[in-house]
Amino acid sequence: MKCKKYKEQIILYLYAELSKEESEELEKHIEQCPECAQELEYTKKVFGTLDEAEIRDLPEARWEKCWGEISSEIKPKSRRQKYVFSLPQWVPAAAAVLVIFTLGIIIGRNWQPAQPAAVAEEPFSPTYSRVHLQEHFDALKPLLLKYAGYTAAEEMNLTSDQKIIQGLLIQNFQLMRMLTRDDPGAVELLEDIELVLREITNMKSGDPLRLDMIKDLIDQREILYNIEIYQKI
Amino acid sequence: MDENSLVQLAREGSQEAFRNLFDANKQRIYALAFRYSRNREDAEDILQETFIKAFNSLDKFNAHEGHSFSSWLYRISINSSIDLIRKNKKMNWSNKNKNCDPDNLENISSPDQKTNPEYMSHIKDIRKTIHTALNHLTARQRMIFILRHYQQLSTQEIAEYMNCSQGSVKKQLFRAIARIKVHFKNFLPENNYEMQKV
Repeated sequence: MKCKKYKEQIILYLYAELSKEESEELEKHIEQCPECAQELEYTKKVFGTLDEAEIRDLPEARWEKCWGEISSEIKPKSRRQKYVFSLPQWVPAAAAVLVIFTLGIIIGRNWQPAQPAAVAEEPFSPTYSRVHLQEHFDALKPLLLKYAGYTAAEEMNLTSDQKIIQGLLIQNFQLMRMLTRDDPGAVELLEDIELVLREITNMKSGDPLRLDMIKDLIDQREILYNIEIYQKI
Repeated sequence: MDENSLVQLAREGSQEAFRNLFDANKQRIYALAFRYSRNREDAEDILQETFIKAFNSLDKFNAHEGHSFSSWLYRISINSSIDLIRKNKKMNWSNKNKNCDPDNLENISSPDQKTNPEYMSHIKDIRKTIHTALNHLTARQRMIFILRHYQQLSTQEIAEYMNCSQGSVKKQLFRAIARIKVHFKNFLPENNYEMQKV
């Protein structure tokens, strides 16, 4: 457990993101722990290799072509904006306030309180996202159980699963966008799910190694367990 | 003319002002997009999409909130990159890029090295390994890794750009690097170190 902490710190150490005290503590630990010393050396070697093949001179983009595409897309907007912004900036805001105020008076005078009706959920509200998250998990669970090895192998039909996954990936992506601000925990879980779905998408039938890797991914990331927790909250 | 004045003119419809903003920021955005997508065509698409989105959202940019236009634009480019690669994944991105940049050895820095076939083959192998490793990361992990390792942003800066906590960035970074290391195991066996230590 202690070594796990230091192994993670090694990465921050190499990126010079540890405080002086943290760096000294890590260096002290490494002097006494051959496993972490080896981890440091290996990570340095991987970083060195990543840098060795770094793209130093970027290919010259076709700037004029890119600008041409951009300027053709922004032309209509610029004309419209020119008109709006030729007025002082406070004019549209003042006009909007006036309209809302007038409408408020009219509605306030004529409105009779009605019986409370079922309120439609506003898209992207936390409740709306949570409902969709639960539905998404319900759709995912049979698939994940199958690839985690909890369902009989003969029920596996890779081609049809891969078709289903295309839709699930889109749903997964949309949920991640909805929940980015409100629920980072759910986003992390969805990222793990994305990884598993991608592995299945890239899998070819009769590839036991890839299947084992997918099983490990689901187990190591505790995806089914985390889904259970989310469904119980 | 300073950045804020150019933004104001662009809001009023000046394409010339927006072109100046494009020229001032294109290299940085393109560098990120190219490193992230490892593909010239996608990088150009990301660059274009970033500037189109920025122009259409100029009304939402508020310099008084403490963000510069460049950092606001960088944030848009991060989202555009992630979106584009996620869309491409659905079209089997790994197949689409089979013959892309790991095999493109034009951009090796030293001309002497270019004439050394062994070195070129070594670099080609590394790039293929990196390409495969990155392809096995989630879109966010991949972006966090690129921003930290190649674009050299701190985890705190990445958290601000990606609208999440620094803890979450670190967690994703650890996972990304752990996964990259798995892919490097055949290329750089860990055993060498064990043997050296005995």
